[in-house]
Amino acid sequence: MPMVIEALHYLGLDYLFNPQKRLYWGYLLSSALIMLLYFLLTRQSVARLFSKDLWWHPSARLDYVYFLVVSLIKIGLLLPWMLGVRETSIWTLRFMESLFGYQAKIAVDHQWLVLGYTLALFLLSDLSRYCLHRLMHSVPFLWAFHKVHHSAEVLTPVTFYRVHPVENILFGLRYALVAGLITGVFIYLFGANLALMDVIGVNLFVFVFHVLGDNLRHSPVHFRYFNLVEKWFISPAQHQYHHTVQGGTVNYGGVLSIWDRLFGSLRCSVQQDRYDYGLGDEGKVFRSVGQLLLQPFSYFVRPFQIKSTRSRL
Amino acid sequence: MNSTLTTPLLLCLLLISPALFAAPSIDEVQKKFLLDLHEQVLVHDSSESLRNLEQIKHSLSALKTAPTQHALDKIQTDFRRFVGSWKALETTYILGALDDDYVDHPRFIDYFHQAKESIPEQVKKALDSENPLQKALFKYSTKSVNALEYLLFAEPEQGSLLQAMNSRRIAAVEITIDNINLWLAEIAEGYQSKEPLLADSSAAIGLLVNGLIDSSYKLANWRIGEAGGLTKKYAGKPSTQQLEYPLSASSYRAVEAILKIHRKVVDRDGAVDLLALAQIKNAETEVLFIRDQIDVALSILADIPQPLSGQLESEQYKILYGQLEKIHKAYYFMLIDALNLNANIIDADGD
Repeated sequence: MPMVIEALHYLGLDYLFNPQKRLYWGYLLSSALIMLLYFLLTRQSVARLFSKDLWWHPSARLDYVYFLVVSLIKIGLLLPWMLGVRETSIWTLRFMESLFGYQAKIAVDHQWLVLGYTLALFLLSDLSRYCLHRLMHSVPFLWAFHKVHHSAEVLTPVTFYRVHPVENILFGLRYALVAGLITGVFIYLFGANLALMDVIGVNLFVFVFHVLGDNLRHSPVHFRYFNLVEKWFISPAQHQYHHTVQGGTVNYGGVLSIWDRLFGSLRCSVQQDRYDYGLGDEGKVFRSVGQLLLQPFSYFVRPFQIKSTRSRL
Repeated sequence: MNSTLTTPLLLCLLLISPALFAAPSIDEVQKKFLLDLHEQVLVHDSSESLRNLEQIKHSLSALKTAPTQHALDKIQTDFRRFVGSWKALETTYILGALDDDYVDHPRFIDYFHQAKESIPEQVKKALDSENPLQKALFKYSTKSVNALEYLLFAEPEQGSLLQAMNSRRIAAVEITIDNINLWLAEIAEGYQSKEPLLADSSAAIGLLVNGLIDSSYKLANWRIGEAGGLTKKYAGKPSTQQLEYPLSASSYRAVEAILKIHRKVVDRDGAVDLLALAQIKNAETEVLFIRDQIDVALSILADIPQPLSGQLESEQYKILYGQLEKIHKAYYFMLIDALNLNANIIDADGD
């Protein structure tokens, strides 16, 4: 078994066994349990969860194939060239040393240092994710690539990976810049003894989010929080609304909804919400792996074509 | 042996065998690392510095009795040897971080890059004044290693240094040695106890690594870069006066001692060193890289003719500066890699 996992790791397909990935078996299991509990409490039938119409829908099948192809693209083409946190951290450190001079390391209680670093990493990462996600919707050429993700007509946990490689690069760069900046500043000020508060190697806050049903965001379970909670944390139902034809201008948040609240894009879920996913007629051009990969580039080769009428900010 | 006895015995052995061969825990290795560091580095270097200072004192008595050029040469050689041991002690100085009572001790001994005023001018003023020396040399800076260097090496405006070694100057040397000895003895005493070091082994190792990072920065920039006019602040303005020990030509020895102590902490035979610690924390590659960069720096230094004052504008000197910068960066890389943040990068997808 470990050899199989190792082989999958090198192929970039160790999703089920890697806690860094959303599809880690532990997160899927916790999401399934939350889902069951939700269905029991709301007295809904769980039958539709196992429906062929969901898991074998053409959009879901496309997700599975696309997931495999893009995983190989990521591991083979993107990862070797990707800017890493290592580089951005050292740039930050050197920049700060040249700007402010060398800083003798400040002695801080280890636990506070680790908590501060973990929290800073989580908050700024979530904020930058909000910003980039919003840009993906509001900048026309970025929307051309983000449409790939929104073209899904049913949502399953695998839909999370229906993302164009260009978007992967942008989100990878975002992570490298933010994590590098924070790590560089923390090492500049505090030096050694820096560590991440983690559970099985995952940022504690991110882990909690994953365990608390992160995978339900891309699922048929319209799991709502109370509105008071939805003003602080994005619920699965809020994210699902974001995926609807009419909901693309709200709820860009990753984990926290405070950014949406702060920048005026928050919409709390309501019982009567309808969830019609996809892009409508525009979605017809995203029906194969080739179309998912190539269609976004048509934005550049047909500059005078009338662009999407999808709402933008 | 009766089989009714051997079977349970074998079973017992089988059960306890993992305990017999179990790898030591991280905490145990960290403690062993600190114990080895304490014995082989901290206590060793503080005793060595005290011993070398005692030797200077000894040679001073000989100079007082028979003021010959040979006696002067001897004391100067002793000073250079002392510089080596003191720099080693200073590089790994973590006593101040472990106990506030010891925080300023190195500053009372060495004023490199600290004093706003010129130490040679201050000492000369004290020597030329009519005041009793104890009063004239009231500042710690005028009783520091840098002051001692001035007293033992600065040529007078007229006549030879040997002629300038009058009773007042020799008394000033004695006062300076006593001051350094006072602080060094306290450091050595402070290092006698292992308890502060072992109280929180992770924190102590963190302090040591911070000290090494600090030292690597100062080595590259303060001790080499600034004198060669290679830093932003002193760009294009090489000056021998920026060297750490410009009068005694001991700057080379200081750089060598600092690099060697870095090497000793990172990798030394028969000890639990930083490399051994890294092996159990999966950071071996990064620490090996640091060790290799130190080795390269030592070999570049070995190719530079002494003293450094004559080499400030040479190509080799610039290469040395670049290499020392690499060591500083390598320490940072070690800290960054230990955080293992890259694992997230490709899964940081959109939504």
